[in-house]
Amino acid sequence: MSWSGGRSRTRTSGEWSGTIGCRAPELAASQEIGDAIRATRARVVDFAGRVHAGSIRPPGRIGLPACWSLASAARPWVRSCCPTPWGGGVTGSPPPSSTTPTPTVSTRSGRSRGGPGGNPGGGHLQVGCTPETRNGMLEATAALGARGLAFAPQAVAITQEGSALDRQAVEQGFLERFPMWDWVGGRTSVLSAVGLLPAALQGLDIAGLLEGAAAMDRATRRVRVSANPAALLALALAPRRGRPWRPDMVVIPYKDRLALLARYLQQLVMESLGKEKDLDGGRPPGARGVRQQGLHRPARLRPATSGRARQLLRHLCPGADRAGRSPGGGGAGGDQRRLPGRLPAWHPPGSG
Amino acid sequence: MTLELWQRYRDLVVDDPELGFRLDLSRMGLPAGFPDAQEPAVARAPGRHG
Repeated sequence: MSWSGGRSRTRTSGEWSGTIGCRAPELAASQEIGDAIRATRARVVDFAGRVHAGSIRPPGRIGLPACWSLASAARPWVRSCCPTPWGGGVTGSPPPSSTTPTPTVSTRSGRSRGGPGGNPGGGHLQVGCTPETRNGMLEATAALGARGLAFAPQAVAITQEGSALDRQAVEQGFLERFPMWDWVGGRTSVLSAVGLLPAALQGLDIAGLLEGAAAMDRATRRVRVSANPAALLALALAPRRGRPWRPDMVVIPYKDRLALLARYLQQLVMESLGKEKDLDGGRPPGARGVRQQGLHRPARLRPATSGRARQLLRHLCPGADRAGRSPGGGGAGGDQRRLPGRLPAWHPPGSG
Repeated sequence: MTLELWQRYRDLVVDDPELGFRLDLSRMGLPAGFPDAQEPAVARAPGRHG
């Protein structure tokens, strides 16, 4: 990655790094990619505008958008705490976002807090080949079907062109499709259509968001170390001769609204450290979302909002949230195929 | 001691009003002049272009 120019072609581990281009298309690796970024942004803004204006409306009574993302819900959670022109933020409950097969379709009638003109009342899907995402789609389809509504006409897919989900979206007539490019890293996809569409639907200023990210890019490419916050933080955490290495980093949000930022940072750091191998050099099981990564790399970064490991395990206990089988074919509690096995139930201290 | 900490804070805080961002390393146990001393190593970091 270029520290000084940014215009040079950015490569990380042999793959195109599109993270800079997403927030500054003029720095993209090619004119074609830059044009694709600009076009997608314009389509996102246009789509959200039509939703807010009411020209895209939910059929019937369902009026709350849902989001099924990749392996972690950290990003939509953080985004849901942002203040919007019509409220929201820490005082409101986050929009349904799920990486586990839990029905998240609201039956609220009328205008929701999703916007002044209603909203599509469906969901948007990312990728679609990840079990959790696929299961979320099946749950939503079942929940809507139980109310006599079709899923596809109110669904938006964000996925790679030609993927299984993309083909499904074409065949079933999804409301809209947006591209997700393989050169955008998952941990930075919040600045691609994956994050920008729900942010725009939420009413956030996505142009300002991208402008701020681009400004931070410039700051983190400063050659002078003492003026480069990323370099300073890395140096502060790096091992130094003659001192024990204590890489734990505690994130203490200074506003309640930023409480979920710690979880997002946890995932960001853990993914950046790599998730191919665990601390013992073994290969962790798939579906490596933030919780699973927290188990495999438990000591690297600990958000102030998290508790001890046994409390973390509680989130992985199957069977706690639903009765019956998932439409996706998994057992109670969803698809556990990629986990190493059923984890022991968590019991609060003192419960015997 | 307080004056010493204040001077250390001034030396090791990065304040960027444009970003609305401030990073304070003054309580992280870094030796004095540590960031500047790392510049030669950072300049040799792989992947750094022109």
